[in-house]
Amino acid sequence: MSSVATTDTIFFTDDVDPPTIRAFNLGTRLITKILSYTMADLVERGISPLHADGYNRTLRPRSMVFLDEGEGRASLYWADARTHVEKRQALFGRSCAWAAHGRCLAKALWATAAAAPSKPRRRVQAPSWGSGSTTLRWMSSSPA
Amino acid sequence: MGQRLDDTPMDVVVSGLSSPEALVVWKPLSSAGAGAGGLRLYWSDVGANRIDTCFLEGTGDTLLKCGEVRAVRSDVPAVTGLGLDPGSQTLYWADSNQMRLQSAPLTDPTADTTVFEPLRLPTAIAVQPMEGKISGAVFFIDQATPATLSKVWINGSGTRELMGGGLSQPRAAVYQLGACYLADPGTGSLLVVEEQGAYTSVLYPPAEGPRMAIRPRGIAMRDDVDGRPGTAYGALDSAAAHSHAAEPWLLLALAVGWLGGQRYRYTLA
Repeated sequence: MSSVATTDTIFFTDDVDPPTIRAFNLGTRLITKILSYTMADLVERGISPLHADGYNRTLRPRSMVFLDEGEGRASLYWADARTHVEKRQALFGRSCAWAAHGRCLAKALWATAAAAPSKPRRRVQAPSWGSGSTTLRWMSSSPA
Repeated sequence: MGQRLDDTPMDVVVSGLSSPEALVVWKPLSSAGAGAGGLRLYWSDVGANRIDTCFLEGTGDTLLKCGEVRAVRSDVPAVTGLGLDPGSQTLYWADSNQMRLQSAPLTDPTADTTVFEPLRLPTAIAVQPMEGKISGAVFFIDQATPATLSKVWINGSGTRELMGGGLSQPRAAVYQLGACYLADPGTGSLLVVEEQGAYTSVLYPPAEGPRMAIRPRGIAMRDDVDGRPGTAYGALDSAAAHSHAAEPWLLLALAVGWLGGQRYRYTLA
């Protein structure tokens, strides 16, 4: 069971470095940190640190929903806009530059579906939040 | 991504997307008809011009994850806001390319209807569900200068601007019975607006005392408590009571505003 109150609470994605999920209690007016995540955390979960076009991924938390599953179970779901392949057009264009057309298309589709990187031609320096602790800790009992 | 509100760790729910933006969850009502069958996520993918959906699958012991991803619409280039009315089983979205607010029944997502236009720069919507014969409404944030929060009644009876000042870059909205809650990363604030605009308050940061810098981009709230409606009013009242304990007039204004709003809603319906 969660030790964070789910009623009278606003959960929100905090677009800071590193991205953080927080809870704001309407009664106490206190903000509590639920978790932070880094690219390393996502790599552990099968997400490539590179976009399919070879660029480093950055993290940008976006919309969030609260799901009450009943029986005391609840979850938060949120979108991270930069965790995934940015542009399929860019993906195709990038892949076609170094492969025959048929092979290029097949590779591009595979990369998109699996969120895996193609061979990078050019890379950019990862922002400072691209690495960090890989430990996710439940910190509901302490203020953010 | 998802996080169970217990000790289980965060996990990736679905990957391989282009640029997911807006996200809503579908939880079937006990007596729901078409479209029922399980928990679903709907999201917009602005990089792929799509609105997609998946059933959430799992045993219930761990975080539920997406099953097969299916396209609801594949011809919507810039959906920045997404909302659901479980009662009428209607999907609403803000199209920042066509500059309009649209809706379609979940049973036939291609049969879209324009709810409101023109929008200037919509960034988020929140749906106030239909209650019996009482019209539902859609709150929408328009981020053009100055940024505004407005409300359009679904039965076509009108539109009202609820908040026209004090917003910088509002990016998220959620409706909970009686109030619309906003996130503004531009000012680093969380706000609440009574559903008729009778009352507006900055919930965070506090006017005085310690504060932390936040950039809220998405917000979520529990719908209600044990299925009982009215919790949001309690939340709003308790929030006001905490911050303005020495201002009983404010609670009176809240009550009057709420009663007036209810009467207005009935009039519109």
